[in-house]
Amino acid sequence: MTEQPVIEVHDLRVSLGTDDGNIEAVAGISFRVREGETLALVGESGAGKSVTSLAIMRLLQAGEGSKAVGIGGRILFRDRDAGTIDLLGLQPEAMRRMRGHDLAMIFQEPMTCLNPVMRVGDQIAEAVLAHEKVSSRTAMTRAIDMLRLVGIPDPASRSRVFPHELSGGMRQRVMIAMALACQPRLLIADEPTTALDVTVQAQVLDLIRRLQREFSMGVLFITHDLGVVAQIADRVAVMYAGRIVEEAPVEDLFAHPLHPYTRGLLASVPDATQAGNIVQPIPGSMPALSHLPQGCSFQPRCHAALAGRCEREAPPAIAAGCRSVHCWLHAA
Amino acid sequence: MSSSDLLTIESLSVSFGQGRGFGRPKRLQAVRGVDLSIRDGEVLALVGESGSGKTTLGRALLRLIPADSGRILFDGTEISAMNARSLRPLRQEMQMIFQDPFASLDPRMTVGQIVAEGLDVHRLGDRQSRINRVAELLALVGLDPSHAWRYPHALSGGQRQRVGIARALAVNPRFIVADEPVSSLDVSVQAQIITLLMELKSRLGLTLLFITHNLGVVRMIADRVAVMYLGRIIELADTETLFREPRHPYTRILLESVPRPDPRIRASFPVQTGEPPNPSAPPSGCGYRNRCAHARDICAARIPLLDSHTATHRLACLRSDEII
Repeated sequence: MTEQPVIEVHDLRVSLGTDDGNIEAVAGISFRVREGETLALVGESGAGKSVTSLAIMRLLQAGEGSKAVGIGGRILFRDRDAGTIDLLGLQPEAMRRMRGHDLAMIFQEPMTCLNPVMRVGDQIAEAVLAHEKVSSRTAMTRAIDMLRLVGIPDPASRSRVFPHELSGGMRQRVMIAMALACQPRLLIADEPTTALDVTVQAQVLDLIRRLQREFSMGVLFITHDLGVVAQIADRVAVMYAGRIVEEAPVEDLFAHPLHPYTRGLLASVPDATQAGNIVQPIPGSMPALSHLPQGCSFQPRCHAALAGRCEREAPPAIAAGCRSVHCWLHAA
Repeated sequence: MSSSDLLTIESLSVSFGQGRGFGRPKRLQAVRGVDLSIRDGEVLALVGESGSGKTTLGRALLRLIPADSGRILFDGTEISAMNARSLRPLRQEMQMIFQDPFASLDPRMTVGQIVAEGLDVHRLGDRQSRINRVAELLALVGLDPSHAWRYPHALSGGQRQRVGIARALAVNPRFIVADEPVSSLDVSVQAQIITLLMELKSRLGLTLLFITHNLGVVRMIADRVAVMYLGRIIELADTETLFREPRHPYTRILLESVPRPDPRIRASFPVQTGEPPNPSAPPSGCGYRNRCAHARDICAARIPLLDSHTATHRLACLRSDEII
């Protein structure tokens, strides 16, 4: 792929203050998302997926009244003029200008980002006016165009409804319309279809695919649903206990998973398109970040753990071609 | 009702009061005249989108919520008209496992108290035998006996769901309604709980009504599948028949919408037109007709009945002969 990376994350670390003391929710992860590419960030609850996305958006701030006590590493964002900006070094005001304009985010629950007492058209127009010097009439025209683009029937009259008057799938569309109104270079989608029925999920995934092609956006798609990953991702990064344990192009990951955790995850999903499917569960559950085991975090659940090795030392990153894995089994 | 049916419902309807404001109170018809038989020893999956009436049907057939009309027969005995006292011994035979293991366990009770509650209510055994029974049940669901002294907040989601299962099994039921028992769990834990449920089902000879929207799980564990739409069952068939030869237009869209966990087969997603229906203002005739590509005038005029399509396949569609 020749496309430029939109975002490069280098050794991102996020520690959070909890009742059990400080924990490292993200423990040094690196990845990049290119123009027009979808990177799926996969993992179970508590793996650090959402913390990663909030850190990129700078919605986790170290300081008083916040759970985040430290963010380290670099988040390099390539803007429209091909300049590179480290988002972690930006002043809050400069970051606020980028949010919604250069990078945008959509969530599982649309009502977390829609204003319940504002008409949906006004909300989208407001997002446009916040970033572009246009008249409010132009902004409203853009809002209606966006509503049409995301497949809302009769967009001119629907722009005058309030969020509660729409179904869940329609609200998800409005949120997508708002996120994409300024044609951001990077879209972070945090479990955007998890709460939706499967037929509605199909519509929303189709929409994200279509709009990505149209705008050649980079998409960071956070999900725990491997079916969705298979259908939407170009590359996949698997997270476990705050680390990326494996990263690979989607076909390679599904055909030849290298990390025992990735294999376990794939074997845990019953396939609705196959008769006689079975699952082979991974024993145990992900450890609390406050009580991580020594060595490899996955080793207590791993059937292939090497005695004398995996429980002592954290595995190194092993790179092979366009993929990488953190596992002693693959160390030469 | 055939001799192998454990539970049968006949034209069961359930509605809820809605809108306590001005004007005439409205009723939301959540379940609309459903007929269904669950065979002894089978896993019957009940699928459909949110708001289709799956959970309401599951609760009404256990008599956890009242039905407006219709009959419920459990093992040949009509339970729909029984009073609470005569129903009590039958409650032992019919249990429920809930979706949210965080909300369905009393946070002030220990795991041991939660699991033993049914034994206390039904006065089964003395104190010592109840303690032994709790230890036995915890072992059965893969928990350590020491978990009996812990509180739910100290357990993971998967462990809590195991407690929910132990509680349901405590009174030796024959029939269990499992309402989305793995939907709130992580993928790797989901697989553990499904495997456990299936082991217990065959070891204890249970009959299960499994309510879910996860079609992968359905194909793995169900003997038969009933598809609900807007309060009615629109298709009912053996699992493989339903997945291989779905007949109802809605079932087809539903199955095609499931994202396939295989990146080599990138399908374009099917497009379901129209909005999900509003249960308080359902369309006349077939509930699906507003979104159906095959709908004709007749679909607005008549309610399709769940008729036999083949010996093992029932279908509620007026246009089934024309749709191949």
